Amino acid sequence: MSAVKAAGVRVALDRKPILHGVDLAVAAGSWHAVLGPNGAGKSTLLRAIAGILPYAGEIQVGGQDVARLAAKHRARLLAYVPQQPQLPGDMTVGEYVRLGRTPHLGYLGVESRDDRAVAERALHRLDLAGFAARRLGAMSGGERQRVVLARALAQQAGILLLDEPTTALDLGHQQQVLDLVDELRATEGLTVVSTLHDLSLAAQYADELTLLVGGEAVARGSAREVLTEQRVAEHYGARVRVFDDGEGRPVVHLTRPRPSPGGPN
Amino acid sequence: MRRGGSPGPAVPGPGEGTTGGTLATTAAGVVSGEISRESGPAADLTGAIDDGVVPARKLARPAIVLMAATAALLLSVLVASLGGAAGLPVGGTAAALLDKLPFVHLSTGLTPVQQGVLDQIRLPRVVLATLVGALLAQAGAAYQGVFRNPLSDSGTIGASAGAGMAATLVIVYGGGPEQTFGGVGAVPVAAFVGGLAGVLTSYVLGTLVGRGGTASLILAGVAVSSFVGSVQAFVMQSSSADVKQVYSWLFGSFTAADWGLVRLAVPYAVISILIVTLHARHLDVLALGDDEAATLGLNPVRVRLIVLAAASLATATAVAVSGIIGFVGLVVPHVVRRVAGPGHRLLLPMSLLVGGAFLVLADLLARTALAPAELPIGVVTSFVGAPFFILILRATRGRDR
Repeated sequence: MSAVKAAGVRVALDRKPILHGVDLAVAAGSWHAVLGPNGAGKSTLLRAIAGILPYAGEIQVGGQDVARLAAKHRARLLAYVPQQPQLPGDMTVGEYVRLGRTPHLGYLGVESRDDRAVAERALHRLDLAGFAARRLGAMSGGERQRVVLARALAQQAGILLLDEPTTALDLGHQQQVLDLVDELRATEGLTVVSTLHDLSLAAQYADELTLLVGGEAVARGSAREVLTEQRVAEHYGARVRVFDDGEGRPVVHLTRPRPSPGGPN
Repeated sequence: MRRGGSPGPAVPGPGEGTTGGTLATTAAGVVSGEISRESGPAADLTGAIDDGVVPARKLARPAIVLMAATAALLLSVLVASLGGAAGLPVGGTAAALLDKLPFVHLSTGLTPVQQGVLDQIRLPRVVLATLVGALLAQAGAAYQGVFRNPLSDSGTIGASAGAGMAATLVIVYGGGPEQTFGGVGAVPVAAFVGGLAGVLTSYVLGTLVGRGGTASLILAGVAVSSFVGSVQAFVMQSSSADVKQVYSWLFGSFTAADWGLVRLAVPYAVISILIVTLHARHLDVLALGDDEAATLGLNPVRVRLIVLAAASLATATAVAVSGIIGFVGLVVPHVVRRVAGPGHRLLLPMSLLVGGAFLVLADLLARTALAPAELPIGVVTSFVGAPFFILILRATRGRDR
């Protein structure tokens, strides 16, 4: 069964069409990566699914129409992590993560003991148990991304929408964050939809990929099906070699211009 | 996502509402009740302590901060009640203040004249200053939260400018302060209406021109303030006879304070304080940006509209009874934030208490520094407040991100 299903989704921003009828089907419990060159509409698609952009067409989450869901109800189904989350520097980690409980509170409600326990468990889950009293401004890049994930986890939504979760992280922290997301997906039974600009990383972690170009889905399927040298060359305008990592997942490399005969190397 | 609509509540008929008891106790009661319920549980998880300092008792910190601020406010009220030409005795005045509380009856030992000075001259003025300081400071904290901009206050969204122009028009063309309107001075009524109209204009323009985002609202507020300010300058220029009167109003004063003004302000104050305080958690969520607030199940535009309307009601009420008093709404929330952190559930009630204490003391200074002459209170708040603000910024600069 599809956790997220989109059919013919069209979005226009400032009257400029960004998405021209995108289809998407994400199996429950899977990781779906949305790829594409800059400006292809990856973030726009994610924001439409999150319910924060008006769209035409159909987007269903757990069998329900996103556009018709009340904001609070939607927030219990979908957690969204933007590319650059705003972290008020003076807020503490604990305060921030507890804001993830908002969709579970009444309009003027206050966190109950249970809500605080959920938030604390989310902190624990992301190895942040000792950080509750720390200021967000005092956290490093990798820690900040974990804090934001803890906030999303505290929301207890079944579907996690991640917009470029590894931007601005170094190699080790990219791996750490993606490992964590994958682990959460497995242990908490989450469905993950993420945009990723790094094709090889997407191939490593995602079960299924959608390649978005100019607001249209031009390919979908497993990493091996989607990431061919010819397709990447065509849509990214890049010279690449695609290797196999030995476990059936493609690795995409950029290559230098072909050396002229007789030149060095 | 465009949203029209008017943030301003209907303009009330003047002279209604005679809430018994002093406002200080009413407001403080409401607020501290709210807080002990809210911050108690919130406290034991984070300890609300920053920078990794291990607290001795985690639960206590917000409570201690609030109690300290309440004590500071009460002390300020006592000191301000004592200060002045009549020379009231300390013990008797303290007893007389306690005597005002329900179910407390004390013999004060004050002469009838002293009691009269306290009841009819000092107390209304002190209570009004507390009220106005509390309203301005909390409104400032609310504006800063709504716009996610540290420089926001009633001056940036058109409230002060609107109130100033309306009051100026009444003073110059409308017969001046002697003119009454249904038993209430025409100047307060005009300031109230003008303040709300200024915010409404800014809001409508900001929403029409931009997409209702915070930047376009602030820019619209700046444009409206500047436009209205020029009209006001022209009116003042063309009527030099009234300039002094207009100026004394533009810098604020509690000279006219009496129980009538207090009674006038209390109903609106209670409404706006309740609405703003109850939206503390929403302001925390808004701090994450509109997109994230929306994906957390909040309607950011609606929350902004509600809090903006309530804060503007507070500003209009304060301006109506005291004129334009700058700096309180800008500075007090920043000072409080340095001590209590950015969480609005502590920030908003703390702003009430600290704002009240600050303005009571500023007014004491205004009426005693050059006695028998009085300084405009806006001059005192800025003259004392600005250096104090710089000191606070320097002392707590470790908290800058």
